[in-house]
Amino acid sequence: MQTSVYATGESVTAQAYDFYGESMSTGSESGVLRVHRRNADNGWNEDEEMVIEGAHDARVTTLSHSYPSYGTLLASASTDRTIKIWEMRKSSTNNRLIAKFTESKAPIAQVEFTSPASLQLVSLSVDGVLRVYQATIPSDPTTWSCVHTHKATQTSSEQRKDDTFALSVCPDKEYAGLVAVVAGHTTTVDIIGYSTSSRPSVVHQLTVNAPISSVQWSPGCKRGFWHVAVGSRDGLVRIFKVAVTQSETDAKALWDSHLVAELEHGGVVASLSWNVFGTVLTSSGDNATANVWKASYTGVWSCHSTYSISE
Amino acid sequence: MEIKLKPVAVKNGELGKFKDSYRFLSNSQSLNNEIEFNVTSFERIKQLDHDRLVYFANHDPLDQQNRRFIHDIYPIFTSLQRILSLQQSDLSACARISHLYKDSLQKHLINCTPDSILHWADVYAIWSFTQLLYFPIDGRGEGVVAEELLDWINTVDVAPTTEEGLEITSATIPHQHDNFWPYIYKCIIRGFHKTATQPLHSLLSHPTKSISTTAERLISLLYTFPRSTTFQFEHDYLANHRKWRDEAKRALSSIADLAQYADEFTKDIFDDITLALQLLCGKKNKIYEVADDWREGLAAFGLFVMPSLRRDDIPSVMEEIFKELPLDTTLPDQCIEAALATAETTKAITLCNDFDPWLVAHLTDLLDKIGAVDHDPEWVFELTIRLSNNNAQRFPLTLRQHFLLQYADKLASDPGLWAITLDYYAQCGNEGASRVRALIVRIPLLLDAKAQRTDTDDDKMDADDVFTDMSANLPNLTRVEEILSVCQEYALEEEASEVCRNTAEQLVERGFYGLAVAFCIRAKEARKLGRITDLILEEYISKGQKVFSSLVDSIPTSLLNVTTSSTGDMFDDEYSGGVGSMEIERNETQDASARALARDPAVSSRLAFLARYKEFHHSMKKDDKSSAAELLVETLIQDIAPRRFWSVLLADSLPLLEYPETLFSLEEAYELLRFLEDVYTGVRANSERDYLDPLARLLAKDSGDAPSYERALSELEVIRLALARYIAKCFLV
Repeated sequence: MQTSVYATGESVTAQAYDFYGESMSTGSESGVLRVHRRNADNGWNEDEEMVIEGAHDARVTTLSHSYPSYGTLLASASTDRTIKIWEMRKSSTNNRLIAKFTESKAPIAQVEFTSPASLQLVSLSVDGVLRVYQATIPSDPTTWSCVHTHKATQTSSEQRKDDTFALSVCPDKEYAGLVAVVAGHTTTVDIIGYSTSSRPSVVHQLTVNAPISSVQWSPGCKRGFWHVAVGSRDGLVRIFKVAVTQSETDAKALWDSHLVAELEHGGVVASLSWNVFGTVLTSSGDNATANVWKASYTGVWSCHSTYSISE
Repeated sequence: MEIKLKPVAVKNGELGKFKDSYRFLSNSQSLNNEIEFNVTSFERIKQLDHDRLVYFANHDPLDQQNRRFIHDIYPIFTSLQRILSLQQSDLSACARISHLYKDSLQKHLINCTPDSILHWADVYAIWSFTQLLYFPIDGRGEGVVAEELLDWINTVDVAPTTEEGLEITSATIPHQHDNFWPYIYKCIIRGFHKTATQPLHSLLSHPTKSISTTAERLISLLYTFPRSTTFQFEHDYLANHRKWRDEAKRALSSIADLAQYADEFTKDIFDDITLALQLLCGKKNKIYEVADDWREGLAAFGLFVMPSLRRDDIPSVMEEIFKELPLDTTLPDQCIEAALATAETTKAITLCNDFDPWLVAHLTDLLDKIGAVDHDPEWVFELTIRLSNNNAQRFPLTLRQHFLLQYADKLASDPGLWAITLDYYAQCGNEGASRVRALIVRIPLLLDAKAQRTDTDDDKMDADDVFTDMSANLPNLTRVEEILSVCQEYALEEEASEVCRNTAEQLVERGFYGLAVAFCIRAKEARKLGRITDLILEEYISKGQKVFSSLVDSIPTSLLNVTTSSTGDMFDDEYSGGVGSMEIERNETQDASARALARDPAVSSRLAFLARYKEFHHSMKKDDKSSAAELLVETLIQDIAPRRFWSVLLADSLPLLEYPETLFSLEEAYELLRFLEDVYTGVRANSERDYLDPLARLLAKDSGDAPSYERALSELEVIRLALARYIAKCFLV
């Protein structure tokens, strides 16, 4: 059921909840960042002291909140080719910008803080370059360096309208350095692994039958496997069950994945999200509807409810 | 189920335009079953009004009306889990619990809103029926069951009503009332025999003699009908019933004879009385004629047809009853009850799932405890084989766990019920444990929440209020402590550590360094501790000694391991340690691990420096120059002072050096000189910032100028001079 609707000051091109779900940040077409806090009636109020005008020179494409043990940091990425990190403490009134990354030569499609094991950020630009940034002094979020750069697309073709650049970080703290990446017009999701001592490389791939438009990695909650949801342009959402085990003979990691559901959404599936337990998936896209998917007792995924903004 | 979000963003026929503008609906999920939607696009587009709307929905909403009920049920649920972990499926214990649930349901029925009363009445009916069948009060359930069935049907489906009765008895000639005989029959099959006799008295004055005598016999039979509840032994009851039934049969045959002589006026009455007697004799076909549904039929069956009816007989009896009184499948509550009556427990549970989430969760839980729930029932197993393409696996969840998780998932919609939600999850095996771990670290810490005031009169301004006002500036740690005690209950060390880390960070943001230190220790985070001690020293430089002292006082004293006593400040200092310092450690294990961390040299030296330096200032204020001198030298010699503070300490030594009395020994003076030389060396090696920065800033603060290293250096010169003079003085003495 719909609980509320909230009008912000201007268009919302990026949205992210904080770790506790008590506040959310939004970014706009004109590069303005706003913070909104949940009030006692479960509605929202904008925190006017936290607005950052002119945070970017162009559209804000994604926002990501850091884990709270690193403080209240917000990373924003934009089509102006920069990634900026902001200190969003309520008490500080100085300039909130504490870091800026300008390595990318193309607009940034997505940025995400990695699992809480370290203070790290992964970004993907629309030229298919994946960059990993790390705070060199873990407790000091002003010292960053780009520790990895990886070209995620094989072909260097010119950009098409239906290219997709998306990434989803594995959210479990036991598995640092894993990210699912979709770069370009492709039917494959690359699972890329990296660490402080090894460069990013593709450790596993998930393949579907149609060009992919979104990907989302579910929390694993120590079940021994994850679900990775893949949305594509043929209107289907596919869920893969993915697991990794340590081989006994050598120190290599063994990956295993198989398709557990193929769900009819309709239109281009452009946005996917998992709940905190990895048990509820929401898909939405250009058919102006969103579907909520849940698994039954027998493990069969089906549509629980649909939300529509059409008449 | 489709929900239209309002206000509508895409009008009819405009979906094409929506797609062409590269717009799409974006979503993200938060805790508490919330989903957020907003319209965004792949391209730069002209902004429409709807693009700035953010929609929120809840995919598993909880009816707030049931909050009280949820709270009432919760302790019953937890005590059930506890009891049965001790003994094996104790039927009478379960029966007691079932009774408690039933009482809560009854209470809820009284308090719930009018539009949900029907639903909860059905839930109550189903629950009490299950209790009747599966949880007999005597714990064994071997006795006859008819009276309990009657009690049940009479509670959940009241018939006949007292209004009907009054209407009939107040009529001039009751037995001519249209509803007279239906009322009598209803009273009979519902076991209200004495009530039935009342209106029948009007037949005693009937002109036809045979009718009045028969009526008399009927009334007497009704009075003497044996009820199993009045007998102590079953065989007595059955013998009595047999005897009574023989009498009833005799009455029936005699009326058959008399009825031959009936005329057109009396024929109807004879037929009616005959039917009444047939019911009493237990004529099945007549009972099926009169009963409204299978439930009434079952109860009447046990009362008249087969008085020895036991629980175990019910399923086979149901086969026959359903043929004559089929189940109305449009009534979901009756479908559930029918499945329970025919002992198809799994089917009943599956139907309950569509009926009410509370019911299915708690009923399955209770039934599971007595082993009445099929694990991996056959039909479900077959379904798995057909659907999964890997080897047939047993489900990771039992039915009980699945439904309890489902219920808890719904409770999660209300953040105020977090503790109850976690407890339900915790009872659900591995999957439940995973969810507890995932959820517990995300419970909001609510450090800014106002503490509950216990005094109601806010206008009263007395000594106590002064303290409460001061404590209003302290963070509210109630929620944090609650979360940590839940972590302890479930042995979630990692999660407790994470919560402590997050709390420490939030406390640092709000400037409560002392408390942050305590939480760092609990989280075993030495690194963050270093950062906090640096921040505290920073506060000394920017805000001065008073603030610094109060911050150090807010660090739990057991962590500071100070040899000199620091409890004396409570009475001297304005920023009293009493309000600021809060003893965080409550139990021994935490204390022990905290001490272990505090013993780590990196940690302990930083804390020790803070303590000593605070003591130093305290002594200076008290004019206890000799202790101050001692402390100052200690910090340098014991190597606990951070390098950048050496110059500050040396500057602090100035007043002590220039004091008429000798406060330092010669060796100590030489030590000070050595440190001074080290500072100079550092400066010459271009590390001015490392050695002079704090001193420069302190000096600048007093004068209001910009910090300068020149000034710091000239201060060092003054110190050097003072030291030289002091050493000379020592030689002269």
